[in-house]
Amino acid sequence: MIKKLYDFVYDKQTQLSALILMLVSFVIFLQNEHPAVHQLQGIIAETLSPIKQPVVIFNEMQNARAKNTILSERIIQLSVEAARFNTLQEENDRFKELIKFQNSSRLNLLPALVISKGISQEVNAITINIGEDQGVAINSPVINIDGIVGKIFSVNKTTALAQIVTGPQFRISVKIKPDEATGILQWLGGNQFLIPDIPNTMNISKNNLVVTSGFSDMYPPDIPVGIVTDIEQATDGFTIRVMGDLLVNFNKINELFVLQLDNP
Amino acid sequence: MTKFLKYFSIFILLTVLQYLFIEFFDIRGIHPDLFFILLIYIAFRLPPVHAVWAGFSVGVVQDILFNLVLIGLAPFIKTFFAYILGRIAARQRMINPILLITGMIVMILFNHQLFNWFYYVQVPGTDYSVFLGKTLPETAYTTVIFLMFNYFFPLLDSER
Repeated sequence: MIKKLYDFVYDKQTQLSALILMLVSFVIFLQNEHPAVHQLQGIIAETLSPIKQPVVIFNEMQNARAKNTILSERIIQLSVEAARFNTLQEENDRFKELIKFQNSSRLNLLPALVISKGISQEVNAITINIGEDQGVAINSPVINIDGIVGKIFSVNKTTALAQIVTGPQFRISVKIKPDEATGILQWLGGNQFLIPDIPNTMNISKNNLVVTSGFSDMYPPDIPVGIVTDIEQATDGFTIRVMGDLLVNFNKINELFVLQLDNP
Repeated sequence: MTKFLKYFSIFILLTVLQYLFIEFFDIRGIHPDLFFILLIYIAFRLPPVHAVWAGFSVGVVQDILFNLVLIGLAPFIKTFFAYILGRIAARQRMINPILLITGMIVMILFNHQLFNWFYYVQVPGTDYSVFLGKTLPETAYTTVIFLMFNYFFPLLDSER
């Protein structure tokens, strides 16, 4: 009996091995949302980051001159914008003082470098070189100078994993300026997004700016997300589908900021 | 044992290459799957059961290094294809060489398509664009590298 079983297992070892290994892989695949798996992901990212960092730093040095020029131009533009916003802020502060609103929190920015993007530019997780020691928390928003990049989903001592917008699971509450129509933005592939179920009474047009709505606890309001490029009528006749391009170039994200929100 | 060590060394080298220098392989977001090419060679050089275990190991490493969000997907797909490749390799002498190489290219296509199908299943209306924009270019890139390797290191037994 045992000999027969042994002979069977020996003869079918390839098939049995394949079956067992595929079963194990599938079970692990189905448990991707388990906290233990997230913890494992964080430990792996933290362990591998010292290996990848020298290459990242070398690449950064190679591209530094060109990026310097671009950043200098952006700084000048942003300085002009900042001066305008300061004036508006002072005016806003006076109005808030007058009607006694509680002041909204200031945003603290933690600069970070991307040290791993995975095998594909569209794999929706990146590893950054700051973690718990630098004040990064789970669900902290991640942005760059162009707009929203994603959010932190796993934090270790000196690294963190961020889920980025270009991923099938990513959703974010947004509003479309200037009418402030709100909806849930999801990724549509490449650098495009989709906002379904916008009432067709809203006045949306091409080149409207899409920003975070502020309704979520995680993302502060008015962080740029994308630009509307197309609007189409939904089949139900009452809503429209808004498509657009994301402002952030996810093929070239290297320098980022993690937002620290003062008020939880 | 020598063969095992040889393929293990190649595997380590490929891992280091892809992990540290992935940006140099990148063409507008498209990367080749060098691990699948290694798996093809392992299936044709080692016994089928070794190929299956190699497929699982390669998949685990691939997930750990490159695909932290969907752990388990690469081992599942690589184990499946390692088994198929092992079965084909066992019958390589009965199959026309050109048909065999074409079959390998078809395997590469299915490998990329299966991975992309699982990955993009939640994104609305993207099956066709993913096939054209991701699967086909990745297949072409991996195929070119596979054919280059095949030219210098022929896949098929020279004593056919």
